[in-house]
Amino acid sequence: MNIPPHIHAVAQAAVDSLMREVKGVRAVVVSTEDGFEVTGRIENTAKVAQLSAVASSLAALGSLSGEESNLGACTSVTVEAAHGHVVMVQARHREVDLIVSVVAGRDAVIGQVLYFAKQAARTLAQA
Amino acid sequence: MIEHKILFSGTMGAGKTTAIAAVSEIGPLSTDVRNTDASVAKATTTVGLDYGELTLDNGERLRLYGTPGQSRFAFMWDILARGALGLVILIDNSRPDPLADLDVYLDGFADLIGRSACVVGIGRTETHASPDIDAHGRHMAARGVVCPVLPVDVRERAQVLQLLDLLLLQLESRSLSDLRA
Repeated sequence: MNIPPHIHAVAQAAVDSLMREVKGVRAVVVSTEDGFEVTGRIENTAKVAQLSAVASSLAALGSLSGEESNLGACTSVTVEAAHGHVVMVQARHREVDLIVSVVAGRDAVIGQVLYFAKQAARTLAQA
Repeated sequence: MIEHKILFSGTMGAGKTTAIAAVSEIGPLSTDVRNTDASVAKATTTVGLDYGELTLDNGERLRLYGTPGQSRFAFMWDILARGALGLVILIDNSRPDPLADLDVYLDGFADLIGRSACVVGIGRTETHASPDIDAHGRHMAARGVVCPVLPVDVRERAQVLQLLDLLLLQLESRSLSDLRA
């Protein structure tokens, strides 16, 4: 997997920004649509490589659900777990499709997490 | 209606998506995305699952699920194996070490193989004859796995149906043995 350096730099900046600016975020991973890690930072026990692969499958299954339900293209998937949320947002770049995954604890405001994750995805799509 | 879940797994590029599409009566569902793995010359790859359906002559329906091939998606193998009645393993004989590839799936689906039936289809044997079918069979036998192994072109509906027939024959034979026991 060869990610162009300028995309990698934007991805790293997006990860840093999400970790810094959004309260309650425990991990942020940017991965390719087929499940390879591009960059990430974690503060809990989440495993970057595994999260990348899981995000890839969930994003694809989310897309399939949207299509089969005639709801159109899926742009994000949110998982609510006992101790927090995982938000996965797709970033469609002309060279490589990416997924921004954010792991947030219960202390995070989910709307804020989603807003910043989508903003990061937009920035990545335009990199 | 009686329905059975059959799982297709095997190496990336072996033709799991193609095999399901070849026999499915419905438009197959797939979760293919752009492949970024430069080591494999393939435009897209399955990252979630494939799904198709096939009705047998006796009215029973097969629900056909395909897994992603790569080991990093092994969590999907476990999810998709739940409730499966049998497994079709597809191996691409043009890869560097097909027998090692076979081991990955024999290990990854050991529980399913132990409690159900399995059939192995070897692809691209016309251009890559080695290891031959006997070598694959001996390799599995050495591991204590006995199941049919045959060359297959998954683009051919009849050949995919033959794999499924062999799988169902094993299941039928196992059911009869259980009844006699």
